[in-house]
Amino acid sequence: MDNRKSSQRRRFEVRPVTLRSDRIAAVAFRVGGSAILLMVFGILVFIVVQVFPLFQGAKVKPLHERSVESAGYVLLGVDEWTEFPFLMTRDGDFHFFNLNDASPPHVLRPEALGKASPTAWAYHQDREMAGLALETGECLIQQVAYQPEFDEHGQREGVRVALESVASINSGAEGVIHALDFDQTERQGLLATIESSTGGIRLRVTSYQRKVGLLSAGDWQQADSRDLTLQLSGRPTHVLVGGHADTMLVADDSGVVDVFLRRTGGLELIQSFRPFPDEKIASMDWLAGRRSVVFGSPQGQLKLFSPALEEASGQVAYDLARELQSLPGSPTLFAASVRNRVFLVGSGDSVSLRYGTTGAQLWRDTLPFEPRFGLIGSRYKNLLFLSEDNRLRSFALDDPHPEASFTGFFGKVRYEGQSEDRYIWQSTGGGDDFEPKLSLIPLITGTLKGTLYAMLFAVPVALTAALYSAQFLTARVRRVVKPAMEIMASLPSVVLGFLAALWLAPLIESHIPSVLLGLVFIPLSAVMAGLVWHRLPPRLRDILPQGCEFLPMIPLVVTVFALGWWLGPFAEKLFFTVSDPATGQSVADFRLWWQESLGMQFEQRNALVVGFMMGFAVIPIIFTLSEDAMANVPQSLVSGSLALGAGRWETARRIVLPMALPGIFSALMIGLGRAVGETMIVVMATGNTPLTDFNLFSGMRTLAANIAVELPEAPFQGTLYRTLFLGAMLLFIMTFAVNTLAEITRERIRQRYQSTP
Amino acid sequence: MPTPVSVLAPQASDKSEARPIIEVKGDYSFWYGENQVLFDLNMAIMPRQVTALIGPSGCGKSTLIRCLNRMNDLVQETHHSGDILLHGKSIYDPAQEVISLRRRIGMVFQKSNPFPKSVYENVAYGLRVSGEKRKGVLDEAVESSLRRAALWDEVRDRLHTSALSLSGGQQQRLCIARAIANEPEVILMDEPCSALDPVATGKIEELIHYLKRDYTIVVVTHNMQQAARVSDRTAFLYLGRLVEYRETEQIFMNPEDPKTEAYVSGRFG
Ligand SMILES: Nc1ncnc2c1ncn2[C@@H]1O[C@H](COP(=O)(O)OP(=O)(O)O)[C@@H](O)[C@H]1O
Ligand SMILES: [Mg+2]
Repeated sequence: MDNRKSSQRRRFEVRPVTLRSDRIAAVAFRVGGSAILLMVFGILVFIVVQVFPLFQGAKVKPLHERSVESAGYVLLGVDEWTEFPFLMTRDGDFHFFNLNDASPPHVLRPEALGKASPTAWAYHQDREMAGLALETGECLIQQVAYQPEFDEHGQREGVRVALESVASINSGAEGVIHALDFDQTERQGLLATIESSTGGIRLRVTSYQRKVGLLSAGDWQQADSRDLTLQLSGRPTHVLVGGHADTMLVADDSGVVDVFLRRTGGLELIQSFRPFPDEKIASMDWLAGRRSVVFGSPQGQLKLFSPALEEASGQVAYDLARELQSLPGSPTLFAASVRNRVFLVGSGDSVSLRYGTTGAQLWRDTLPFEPRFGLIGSRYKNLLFLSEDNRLRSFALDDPHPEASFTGFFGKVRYEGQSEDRYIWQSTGGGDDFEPKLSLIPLITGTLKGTLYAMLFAVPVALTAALYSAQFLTARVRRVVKPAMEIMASLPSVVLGFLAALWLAPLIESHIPSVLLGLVFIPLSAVMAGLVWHRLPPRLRDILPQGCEFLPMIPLVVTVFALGWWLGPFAEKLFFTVSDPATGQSVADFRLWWQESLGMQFEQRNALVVGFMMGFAVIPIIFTLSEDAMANVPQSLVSGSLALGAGRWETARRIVLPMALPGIFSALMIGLGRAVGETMIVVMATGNTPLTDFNLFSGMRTLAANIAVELPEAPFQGTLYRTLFLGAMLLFIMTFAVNTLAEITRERIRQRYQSTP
Repeated sequence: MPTPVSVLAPQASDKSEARPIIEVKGDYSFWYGENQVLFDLNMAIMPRQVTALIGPSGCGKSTLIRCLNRMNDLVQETHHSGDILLHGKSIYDPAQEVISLRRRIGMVFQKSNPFPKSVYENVAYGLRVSGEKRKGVLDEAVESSLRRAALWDEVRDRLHTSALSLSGGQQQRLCIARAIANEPEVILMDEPCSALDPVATGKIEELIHYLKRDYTIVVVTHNMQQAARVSDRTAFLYLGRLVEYRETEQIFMNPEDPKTEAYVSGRFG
């Protein structure tokens, strides 16, 4: 009796094994799901951590401080490590200080100076050269040589200093020189002086040169010396020499700047301009590279001027690159970094660090002292000031990415040498004074461009194919088509890229009119065939079993494509004949026509090729997913529609498509995501030129391709490295946004068309 | 081996003079692939009558009814012999557009299948696909169809809500209204009540009775009482063959064939 009861009870109990495996499965799913979420989140966090330092401002912390005897210092300079600054006295003595202790200075004096005192001076931190003018009109160019000394372990022990004479130039000045500047390349130099004599204030320029042999360089020889005062409109106040010793800028007391350029016949005045229409010029200083110049007005206005080639005249001319945030008063402090385009500028105790190209203010502070001189350490790791209370104060500067700023990444920027604001990506270049140009806009544009053309090609093909396969195609063919498409989806994109680059690109390039005709003819012929088929008497139509209507389309498409291919050259002759600028003859060449008549760029590896190939990568995805969505529309609804006398097309249009819309939509989004992130095809099938246009016949560089191309070369945790991660973050955000949007829209549509569960 | 039963013309009715609206003739047979489902059928369906198809599961009732409006065309690899005439013209005539055939012979399915659209759009669907755009015409057709389907009073306030929010019985009547909106001559119903509760079933039966005045109705049913209640004539199919096809009363009162008798008395099925 009892036994039966318990067995009865057991019948309704779930077996413990089932329960246990159920529970284990639930835990496993939960762990797996959260692990995936965590991983995605972790990747995001990693990327953000990599990107974050780009947008941090500069941090400045006091480092060393020591007093110097007040000896009327006129010049401040420093070694590479900002450890042994020197100050030059009015007499021409160089006092080298150790910042780490309060030891008395090490004093050196240029030999050529003798007993004389300099009347004017200039110091070039980048070359560690000082120029000193004597009363005699002679100018001494001295190398302040810092030689690091190493111990037996290769550790830097200290620095040995020496003053070496580079050149001694006779400027021919008759009065007392009170301002000078100079610049020199390997073979030539230019020295400019402003002197006050009985004849007034005069500007004089001396060029000098030397012969450079294979092993050694000769001594500097003076070439000629000229008085250019008469070419000026006022009395000169400031002079700068730069641009590889062939540019001279002179500011005069009327607020005009005259630009002289070295030509074969000597210096030539090429431009005069007023940086401040109603104000005089209080300061004028080079940025690193000695091309761009920052002007300060007595009111504290700051303006950056850069040279650019003027399109019209073919001449170099300075014009306003950027107005910078003003200072509270006339600039009293200016120092350019020698490493990058940062400069230190101040008025009284209010100082700031600015980035020249973007005008971004990296740091700003009101100092507890009044700086007399200041400079940025040559490694861009320190700031150094001599305060009015005769103390040398060094600061640690922590700003690893001065060139990174929101404006730089996303705004139009006018880089040095350009005549307008532009979006440029150019991460590396030759030359020491190369400035990386890190606008992400060309990459974003490239991504959108590639995606756009790929989707433009893929979406109509994939969706119509899916619709045909799901609703019209006979089941027997469908059973073959579907898996074939799925296999296509798994084709490695490197193969597609390879095909695109080595086969498709050259083929298309030489047959563009044919390809274009094909692109027009094929859809057109399909539509025409449909219309004709529709008009055909049912007796004729019934010859083909339903679902096999595609059969006559195959030869038709082939024929039409062949026709287009064959007609291509004729079309080229008819529409795309242009006169070749090289020979002057008229030739039928689409490529030339595109460039000559439309003024647009033509590249062999262009967006058309990418659109085709990336389209091929995307078509199978969109096709299979949306085909599934359409095939999953309940057959009962399709039958219901057909039973009401709707044709197959009407049924597809009114029932199948709306009901499959959520699925089609996610298919499109997944396809879009694939196209946005696709890398290999774009890397291989384009020239990877970062352009900002949507020209069908030019290339592009996408965010993904950019990462692939540049990351191997990017120094670890450098600005480029982090910027690439910023690109990755954008990519992440883009796909995330697309997917979220897709999911929301899909839910909306689904709710609208939801059928009974 | 049951022999084909020839059509017996209805005897004691003034409708007897009427010509059949649909004729299945020429020993109509039907195959799904190799599998023959219908064997040597010959029968006439009279206008403005309710014809019931009864028979055990799998005997080919649905297949037969789907042949009448060529819904079986959707199934791959089917073929047939014999012919079906609508008003004396073959429905297989190449000149006969399937679309217009299906407008003339409407269909209601076993499981109600309203489109995931509003009540209004469901009823207007047939007109819309035939190109009707005038709102007045559509409004009128929707209202009169819903009235004739005895649904108007229940849905007049929610014409524009989703048809999926209706109850099962209402959904099935909506499908009938949808079929009616096309003004068909014949309405085929494949076990229209099989998924409904008795109250909803009663309503549909009432509706069939009422619709008979305007339409010819062919209804497949599993339910003997239902066939007895709603139909004028009843055809008994067994293993794809027409065993007996006579006036309903006679089929139920004194069936000729022992198989019919066995079936209607519920001895198998
Ligand atoms: N689409 C189809 N394909 C192949 N065989 C079918 C199909 N539909 C029905 N059949 C077969 O035809 C026979 C009759 O089915 P059906 O007409 O649905 O019977 P009933 O409606 O009387 O239950 C059954 O044996 C069934 O298996
Ligand atoms: Mg059935």
